[in-house]
Amino acid sequence: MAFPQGVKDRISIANPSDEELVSAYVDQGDERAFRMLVERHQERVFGFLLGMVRDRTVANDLFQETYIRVISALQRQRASYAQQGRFLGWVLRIARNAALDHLRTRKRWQDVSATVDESETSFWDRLPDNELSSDVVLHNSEQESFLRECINDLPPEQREVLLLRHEAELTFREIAELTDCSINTALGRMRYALHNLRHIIASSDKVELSEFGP
Amino acid sequence: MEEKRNILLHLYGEADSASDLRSLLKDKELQREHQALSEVKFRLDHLDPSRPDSNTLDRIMAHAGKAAASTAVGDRRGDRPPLWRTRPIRRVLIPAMSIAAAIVIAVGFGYFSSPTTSVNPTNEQITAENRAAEVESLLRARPVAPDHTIQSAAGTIDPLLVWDYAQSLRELSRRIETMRPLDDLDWGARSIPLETLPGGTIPGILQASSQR
Repeated sequence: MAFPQGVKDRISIANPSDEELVSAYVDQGDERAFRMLVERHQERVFGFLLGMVRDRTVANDLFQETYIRVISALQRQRASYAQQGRFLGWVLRIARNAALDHLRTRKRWQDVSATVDESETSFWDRLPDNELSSDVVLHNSEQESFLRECINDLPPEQREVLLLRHEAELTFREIAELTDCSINTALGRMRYALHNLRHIIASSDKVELSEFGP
Repeated sequence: MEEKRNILLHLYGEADSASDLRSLLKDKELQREHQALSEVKFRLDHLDPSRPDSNTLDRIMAHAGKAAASTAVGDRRGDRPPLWRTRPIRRVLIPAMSIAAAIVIAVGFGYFSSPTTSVNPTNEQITAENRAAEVESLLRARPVAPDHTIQSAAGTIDPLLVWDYAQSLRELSRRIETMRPLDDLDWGARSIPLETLPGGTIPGILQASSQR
C-alpha cells in the first residue's frame, strides 16, 4: 500500500526508526530521542542482562554501564554502530560484553572465596526452594519466579541463547552472529534449553505445564 | 536431527513456509517434539518483561545530556577531519608545481626575448648581417680596374665624386696633385745612413749611442 509523502512523514514522526533517533541525538543533541531509544529497548536489554547475571541490582548497574558505553561510542564516532547495522543488535553486543566481563570478575572472586565446591552440589540441590522463592522481590508471580530460577540453572550457553531469543527477541540468525557460532549450533542450544526447562518444570510440583499449554 | 531443528524454526516463526510443518507433524515423534517445545515456549512467552529501575534510566539520561552538552553541534560536526587532509598529496602538489613551472617559463621567456638581453640575434639582425656579408663578398669579387682606365676616365670625368664637392676635399685634392711631381722616391735605390740626411734647424735623428 502506497502512502502519500505527507502521510509517510507523519508515520515517521510518530514512530521514528532507531536510525532516525540516533541521528537526532548525535547530530542535534536531542535527549528526548535518546530517551525514546532507551525506553524502546529497555525490556529486551534489561531482561537479557537480568537473565545473565541473575541479580537485579547488578543488572541495573550493567544496564547503566551498557548505555554509558553506547553514549560514549556514539559521541566518539558512529562508525562501530554503522558497521553493526541494527541498533538493538549493537547494544546487545555491548551488553553481552559487559555481562561476560562481570561474570568473569565474579568467577575470580568465587574461585578465591568459595568454601564449598560448586561442583559437589547437585543440579537439583541448587534449585530454589519455597523460602528462596518468597524472598525474591520481583513483580511477577511465584510461578514466574520459579521459572526464572529454572532458566538461571540452565548451562550458560543454553541460557544465553534462550535469553537472546525470548528477552532480546533476536532471530536465531542474529543470535548466531552475536555469539559467533553457526545457526545450527544456536538452534541446538535452544532445543536443549527448552527440553531441560521442561524436564525441570515437570519434575517439580510447582507448575503444571499442561494447564499452561497452548 | 535436522527435522527437529526445523520444528524449532516453525515454532518461532522463522521457517520459510508453513506447508513443511504439516508434513513434519505427520511423524509421531516430531509431533511429540513439537508439543513438548510448544508448552515450554508458551510459559516463556508469558513471562512479564523486566524493566530497569527508574533511577537507572535517570542516571543514563543525565549522562546522555551531559555528553550532548559537552559536544556542541558545531564541534561535533567539526570532529570530522577536513577533506583536504584525506586527499592524496599529488592532488595539491601537482597543480602547484604546474603553476610554478608556468610562471618560471613565462618570466624566462620575457627576459630572454627582450632586445637588451637577447643572446640570440633576431631575424632582422640576421638579415642585415647577411646583406652586409653579401655586399662585402661582391666588392671583393669585383675585378679592379687597370690604372689606365682610371686615368682616362679621370681625364674626361671630374675625379671628384659628385657627392664630395666640399671645400676641404677640394683643397686636399689640389695638395695631392701638387705633391705628386715631388714624389720621386726610388724604392730600388741603395740605402743611405741616416746621418747623411739633412737635419735643418730641427735636431733631426740622432744615433742611439750619441749623448745629448
